[in-house]
Amino acid sequence: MLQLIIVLAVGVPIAHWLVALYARSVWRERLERKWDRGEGQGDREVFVGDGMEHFEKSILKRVIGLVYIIPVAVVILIAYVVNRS
Amino acid sequence: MQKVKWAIWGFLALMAAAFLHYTLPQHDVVRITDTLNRKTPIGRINGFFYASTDSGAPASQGDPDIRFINAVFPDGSVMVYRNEDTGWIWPPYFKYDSSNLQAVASNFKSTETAPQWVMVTHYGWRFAPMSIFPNALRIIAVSGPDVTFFPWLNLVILALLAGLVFFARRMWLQFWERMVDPAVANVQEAGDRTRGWFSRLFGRKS
Repeated sequence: MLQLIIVLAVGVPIAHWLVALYARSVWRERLERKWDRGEGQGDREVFVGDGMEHFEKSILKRVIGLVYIIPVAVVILIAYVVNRS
Repeated sequence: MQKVKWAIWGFLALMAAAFLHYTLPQHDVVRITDTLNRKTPIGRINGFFYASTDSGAPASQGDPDIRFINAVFPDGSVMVYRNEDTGWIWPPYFKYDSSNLQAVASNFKSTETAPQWVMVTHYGWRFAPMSIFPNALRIIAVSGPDVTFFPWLNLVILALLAGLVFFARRMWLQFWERMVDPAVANVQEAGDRTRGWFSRLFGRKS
């Protein structure tokens, strides 16, 4: 059981970090494309920077927090289903 | 070269398929004839196909005492399941009730004249030449030998795995597009500048 806890304690933060990195990258790319299409105002850097601040408050960022919850929930669910008599 | 590439991909796909077939749950409808445990020496060849010691027990000395369940298929062919805790890492069934499961299996023991058919959920393979046994996970009573079970759970798991692979690929491509390609372009630009500097130095126009 200790092994599992160690694997989760190490693996889940790494997975969360990777997914958050990906989401930020996609978010930034979308903002840059938007500005390049002429739909943004002002300086490009400022426009993208403001948009990235929106990411920090977005629902998407909270959804990514599920990366912490889902593996633990799945482990508990599997253990329950397999061992119930 | 193309053939070698396809051969490698084919081999990898085959390994992945075999791995999934070994690990994912399967269902057998059988009649349990006996339950027993016996000291089972495990060698280097088949050791990979056995689980660790019971999840609450310390590492054992000597040959482990493993629980087995003998069973018969409706067509008369036989199957032997082992019944071991899986431990907490792999395969990820987190099974720790093998003693209880053995009691359940013993309860379902029946004779050919008064058969009690059961569905055994298990993972793993029976491969006699290497003394490998599938590990039983769950045993429930069924009404008759003709009961079939649609593997909807396996479909869900495979779909989720495919989704995970697709997502990982998207992440990888995004990383490549946003981080590696610009970096490579930068290096090339820097290389061009350096070349320009060198050619100016040596008085040659490039």
